[in-house]
Amino acid sequence: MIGPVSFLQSDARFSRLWTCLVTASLGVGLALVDVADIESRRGYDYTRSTYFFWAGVSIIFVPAALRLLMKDVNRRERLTLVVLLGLSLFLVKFLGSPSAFTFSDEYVHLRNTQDILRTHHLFSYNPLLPTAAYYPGLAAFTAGVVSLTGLSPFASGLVVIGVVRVLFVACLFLIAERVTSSDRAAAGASLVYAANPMFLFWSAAFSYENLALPIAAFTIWWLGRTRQVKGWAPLAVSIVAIFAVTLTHHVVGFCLSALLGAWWLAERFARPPSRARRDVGIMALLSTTTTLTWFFLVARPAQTYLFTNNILPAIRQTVSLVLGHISPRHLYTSGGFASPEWEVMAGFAAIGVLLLALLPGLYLAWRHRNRPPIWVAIGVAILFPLSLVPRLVPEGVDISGRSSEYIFAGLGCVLGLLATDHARRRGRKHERPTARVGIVGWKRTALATVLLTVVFIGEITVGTPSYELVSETTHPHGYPWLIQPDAIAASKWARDHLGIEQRFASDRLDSLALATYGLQNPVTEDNAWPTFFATSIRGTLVRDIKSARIHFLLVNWQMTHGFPPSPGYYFSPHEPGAREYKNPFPSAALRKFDFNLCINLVYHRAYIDIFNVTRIENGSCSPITASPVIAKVRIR
Amino acid sequence: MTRIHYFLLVVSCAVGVLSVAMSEFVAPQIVRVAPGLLIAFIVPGFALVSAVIPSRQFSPGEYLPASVGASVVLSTTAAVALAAAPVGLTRLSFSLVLGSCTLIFSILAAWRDRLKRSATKREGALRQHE
Repeated sequence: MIGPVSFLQSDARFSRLWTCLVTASLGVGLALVDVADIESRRGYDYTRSTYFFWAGVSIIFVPAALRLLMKDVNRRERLTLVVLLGLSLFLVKFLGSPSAFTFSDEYVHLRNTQDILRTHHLFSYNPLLPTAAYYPGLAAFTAGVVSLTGLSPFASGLVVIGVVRVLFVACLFLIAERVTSSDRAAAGASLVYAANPMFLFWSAAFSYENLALPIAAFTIWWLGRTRQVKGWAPLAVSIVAIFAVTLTHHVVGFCLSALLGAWWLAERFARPPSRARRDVGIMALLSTTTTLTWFFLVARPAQTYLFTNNILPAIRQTVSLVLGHISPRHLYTSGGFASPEWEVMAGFAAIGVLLLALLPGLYLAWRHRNRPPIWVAIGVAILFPLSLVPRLVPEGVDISGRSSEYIFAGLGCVLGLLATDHARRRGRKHERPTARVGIVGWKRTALATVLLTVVFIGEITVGTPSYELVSETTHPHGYPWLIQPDAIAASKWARDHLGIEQRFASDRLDSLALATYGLQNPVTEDNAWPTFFATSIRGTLVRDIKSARIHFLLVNWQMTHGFPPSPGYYFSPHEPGAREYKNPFPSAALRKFDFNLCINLVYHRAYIDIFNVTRIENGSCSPITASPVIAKVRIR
Repeated sequence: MTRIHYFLLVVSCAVGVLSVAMSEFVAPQIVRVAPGLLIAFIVPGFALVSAVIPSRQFSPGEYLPASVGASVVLSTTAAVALAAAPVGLTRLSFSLVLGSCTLIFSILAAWRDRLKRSATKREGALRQHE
């Protein structure tokens, strides 16, 4: 962000040997993770599979971290290793789901991409998340790649997210290098960022935030890097980049605006007026204006989604917790599943290490306070302890987790300073430094690597439930957490035999399959659950079907075999017993669809049934007066 | 601008033209993948960065993220703009926009470099004359 590059470069040579060694360790680590996923998919012991997983991610992280934190490493080598590490961690997620998208958000954006490929235009209705259709950057870009290359949407999505992952880690390193004036500190910052709880899985998913964040990082790096270049052309690139962020993700747009504003303010108080400072101010203003205009005038469903459904409930519950009105939730438990004891301890250890390191990190950052960008990093890093509080309430888990993707950037820059040798950096080699806070010798490098590994491992356990670390078995005993082949087959059947965009009611998991593989329009979560929870065909069921305009029901009998894992419900967070299930879904509630003339079973295979309830929806048949059919009792 | 830089700009233009040509003709997928990925992720950004920034200001380590970043920005914005326009986002429209951008920025980069060279030459000659 300031100053020329030359002073950042060290005399160290690019070590091919070290690069090869680290690359080999990345390969071995990925192979172990692959073994873990294959074992788990084949139904071997899950705990044993996770041993391979933990060994794999440790072998990926430790050698890279060790080399990155060493003294006298060539700057280009550090950048190369940071990129290789980022890419390897992306591949960990890919190995978990190598043939299709599996995260719920991925289905949302897959549907968006399919709609753009089908209609060639924007803003088709997205039944999974209406807001997503109004931020079409990722879907449009992926659709463009699909049309240019002929690859499938899955392959194109992987390439898009993989390439922007490389872009992001490179830009983060280059930004941190300019904030801290040290490539070693930048490597430390990149490692801390890689340890954020979302980085391994969530940030590698096909989701709009994971395109917007790299573009935002590029914008900041570009703006700082080209500030000395005369002319309007570099600024024009920044303007287009800001538009791209605005079109891609709401929260990243807001965060970029806030960051640019904070950067301008920091320069306002620390530097004399200059053209470069004015440019940052203009970009902050532009980013704020475009983000707010798009958010309030174009992406109207986003307001309800972001504030009413996510931020306000989280704030309300967090405030209640702070005031003592509610008790904190049980950490490391979800839908009846509990993580192993050591994972809980690792998570707490990671948070403890970060909190303890924050104080000396802030002290070092304070010593660099003559540089405006470090003020921004300090401001962001201080938010870290506060961001942990919402995690203690059920509605705040997402906010706390997702905020780490932003906070760890500032936290990384501040903690990265601990990796610098301050006496040497100031050019006083012969003097004994007064306060050697940073990592200097190999012992300290080793210690820092160990601590960072603790943070990395612990934060993985914070961000991902233990049962989602490796792939699910292909034949799960209880209620699955991944979409099963039966549901995919049923969705494709629905697309081919019922036509697209039919209104379906189904459980949350199968809605994802229906919307993407079947191109159907599942009704909202809150409209679906009353139909399934009704104890009989009488009562409010007819009203529910009519009011939600449900034409078909997809019934997955696996619901009666086990609890719903994270997020802890079958249909909606508002269904009775959500997140507190003690017993699986009652089979009587599903059996009620079997015995009525108004309801036709149109598809039956394995655990999946599809019922046609159009006659109830349009009022041509009343299930209350229709005589029950003599149904065969199905043994499941 | 070095000879390698010029060569890369020519290659970029070739990729741009190839992508547009392939969108018109039926080509096997395996042939489409490489130019398709290059035109979406690297080539237009490389041309744009070459046109905007004098070549010596970026190290090779910085040129790559700059090119990829600028390409991603251009491709995302172009894709959304096309899908919002009546023409729609199709293989032809997308490759035409990205290919044209690559061509225009490459020409601009070469032209700016030529202007700069002739200015430097003129300055040198003036100094020699003095």
